[in-house]
Amino acid sequence: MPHISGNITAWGPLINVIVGVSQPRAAALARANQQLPSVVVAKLVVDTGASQTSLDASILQQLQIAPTGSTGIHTPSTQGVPHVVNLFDVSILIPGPNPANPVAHVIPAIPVIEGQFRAQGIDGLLGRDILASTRFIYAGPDQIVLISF
Amino acid sequence: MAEALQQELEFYKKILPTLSGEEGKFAVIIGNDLIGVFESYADGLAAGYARAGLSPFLLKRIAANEIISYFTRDIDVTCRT
Repeated sequence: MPHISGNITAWGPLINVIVGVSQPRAAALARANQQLPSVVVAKLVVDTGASQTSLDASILQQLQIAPTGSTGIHTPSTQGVPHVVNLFDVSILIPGPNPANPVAHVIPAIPVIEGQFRAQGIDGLLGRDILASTRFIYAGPDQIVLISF
Repeated sequence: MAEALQQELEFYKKILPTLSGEEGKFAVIIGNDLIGVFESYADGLAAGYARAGLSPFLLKRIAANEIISYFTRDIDVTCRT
């Protein structure tokens, strides 16, 4: 079972992922003879308080993607009234721990929410939509998290 | 960009009562056309791109009551409402 570890930092547990356009969008770009946008390395906080994975708006702009959905969200600021936000389809690759195991997990297509995270020093949140298919250990005394896929 | 899918979302709300047997599946809508209903997000996304190419389309999980995501921290999103 592939696994990765991440450091527990002042922001929370951090892992690096590689974000690209979704596999179906990549196929559509190929059919249209258009170049694939470069993938983006993103530093995400593993957040069990987030229903869904969210990425900084700048990453979605780099990928040149438009929304393909919408959803309602509650945050501490929404004060009981859900806000409707856009969803964007991306692919997420989670690198493995060493060159012999370069890819721990690939998600070919997943909807993510756009947010503003760069001012917080991160690129987004890895939410329970991804954690739902993993085993996640928060090893506080060791200052690491372990995620098995 | 936030207004890009307004037409599709309004159409989805209009036809939602006719989709009551499809709860949990994914509807693909382009303009005022329901392209199809699919079992999974991946299948719906593939169908949307196959049909719309790089033009806008809506992929919506069918739910009588809108599915809400929860965040214990603010994410400073652009609200569409």
